[in-house]
Amino acid sequence: MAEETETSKGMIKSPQDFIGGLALLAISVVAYVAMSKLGSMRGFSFGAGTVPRLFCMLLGVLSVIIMASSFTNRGPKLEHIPWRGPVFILASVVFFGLAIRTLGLAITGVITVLLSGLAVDDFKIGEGVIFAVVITAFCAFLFPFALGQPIPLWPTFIN
Amino acid sequence: MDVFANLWGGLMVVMKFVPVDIAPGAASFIIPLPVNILLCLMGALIGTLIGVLPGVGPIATIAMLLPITYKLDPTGALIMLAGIYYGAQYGGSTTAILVNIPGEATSVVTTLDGHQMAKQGRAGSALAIAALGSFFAGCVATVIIAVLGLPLTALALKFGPADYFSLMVMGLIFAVALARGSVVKALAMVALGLLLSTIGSDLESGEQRLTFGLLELADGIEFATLAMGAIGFAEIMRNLENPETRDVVTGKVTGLWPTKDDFRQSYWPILRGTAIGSILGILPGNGAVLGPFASYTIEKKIAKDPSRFGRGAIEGVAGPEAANNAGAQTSFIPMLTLGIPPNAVMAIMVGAMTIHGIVPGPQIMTKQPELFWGMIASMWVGNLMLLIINLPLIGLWVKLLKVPYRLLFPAILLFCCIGVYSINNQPFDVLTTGAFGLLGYFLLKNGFEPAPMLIAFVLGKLMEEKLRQAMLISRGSMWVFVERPLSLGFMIVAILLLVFALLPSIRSKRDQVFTE
Repeated sequence: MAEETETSKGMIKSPQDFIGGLALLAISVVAYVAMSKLGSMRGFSFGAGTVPRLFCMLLGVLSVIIMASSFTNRGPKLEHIPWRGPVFILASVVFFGLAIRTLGLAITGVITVLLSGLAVDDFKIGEGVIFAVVITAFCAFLFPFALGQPIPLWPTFIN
Repeated sequence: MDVFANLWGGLMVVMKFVPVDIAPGAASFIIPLPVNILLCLMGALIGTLIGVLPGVGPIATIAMLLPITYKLDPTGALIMLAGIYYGAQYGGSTTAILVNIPGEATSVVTTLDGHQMAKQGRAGSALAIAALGSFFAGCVATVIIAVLGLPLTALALKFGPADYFSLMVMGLIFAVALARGSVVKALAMVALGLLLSTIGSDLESGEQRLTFGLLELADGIEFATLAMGAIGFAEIMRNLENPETRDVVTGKVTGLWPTKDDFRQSYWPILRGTAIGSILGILPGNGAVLGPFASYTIEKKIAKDPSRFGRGAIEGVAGPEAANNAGAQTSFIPMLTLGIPPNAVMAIMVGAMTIHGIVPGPQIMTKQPELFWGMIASMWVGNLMLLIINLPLIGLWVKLLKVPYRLLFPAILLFCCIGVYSINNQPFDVLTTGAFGLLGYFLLKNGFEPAPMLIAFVLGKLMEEKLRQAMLISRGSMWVFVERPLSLGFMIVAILLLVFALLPSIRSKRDQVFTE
């Protein structure tokens, strides 16, 4: 991989490491603050917060090392992020989570498949709708019916 | 021989006829059916079916199909899950050979020569040798599991908390050393995984840790949500970026039976691959991934004419495929005997076992021998069935491979959502999966590999428990980790590994292995 990667100019020689390290540092700081009220060591017996704090510090130290090394070690540039894919994928997952209880699998499934289908440029509406219905019908047969999973099939307002 | 008596007993469990009511409800219709063997067959078939789909590896396959096993008894469920696992492995190889897309990390090597063979019209030979090699490796690995099972279980029962802790540290360091890219980044991923594992109620005091007031987090994060999000969803988002270049070998796959020459050339590579894969698979920390790479490198090194490799050398398919399957099976050993999952797939298996009320570890073999030996014997039976079934089904797989990704991924996504939702019937789990998908995508984009995070997450809870026990027993003395010989041994191996992984000269070698 190393041959084809471009490196960036300026202070930060490895922007990926810098951004990644920064994000991990942020996570460890937030977690550390959120743990402030947890019990600590009592004698030689561990409190609820002892081990999480250890892990948290480990993450913090490592992310600082990663960030520090981004000033000295050359690394690849930040990758371009095409928003369309992740946005529609996440939107469809979130929609499924929010809607499944009230709308049921029949409706949620179709919309989830359609919404995620929009993540690619060559989405075709006709094909998409037919496919969404077929897949949802298959899942509706397989999970609540054949496997007896307690997944709501129809919207709550129908029953 | 005890071992064979045990395996025979396991075989009986697999073949057992159980009276089943095939038309529940109105008219009862009870007939005896060999339920376990049918579940094994079904698991292997469905596993192959999903595993063939490009971009769907064994982790996603198992996580997706987990709900199917909920209603089964534990033995049946595990037999089916194991079937799904090696089915997915077989499917991955098929995709690697026919489409040049590795279904998972371990079949990357198979694409090199397997796809070249397919292009030269020898797809049939490649697929058949891959299947035969895998079958042979599977047979050997099954016997290895059976032989090592008893002594390792006996050893595991002698482990104290400190030994367990050190063993897991060693496993994590293995995972770091085997991860691609920067060692420090992989270590950071381990730390993140450990931190995530502490979310939820404290074991002793019941205090809420890092739950941010969310009731749904009181039991901790569901492993499947992390795995499916950080690996499955993140992969889908990543796949969408690269416009697809799939060159399915469209010509009719003929001449399934390899020629005499093919056999002669693959005989030794299969034996060597099996040996390498079996040994690496036992290592904690995802050693199985290395098997195919190591086997390919060795075959290339000892070949009379190394230039044939990369242009359709059958040894380059036979060896790695055998190593792949051997490693996949022997990686059950640490999980079944020590209760320590060596990789993400085994971690999912642990999750599945927990759902069925089984705690992985040495007590399985002593308390539930039927389950243990039944599962192991089923692996052999499953491999045999895959060998017989899969070759005639290749035509079907080729058709399946022609389904474009723009139709595939929404279906995969819906399956994943349903799968995650069904674990606890919690919409919240679906949302967490989405969040982890975003996290995984961000990490991938910045050169962090999520695999060590998953292993650390699974081991985290157990590590904390053992650490606390060890410190309580030793009255707060850290020396306990060096005073016990077993623990000291694991710690020394861990430190040596870490030092070696950080050494610049070894690092460049390691990068070479991965790019090859």
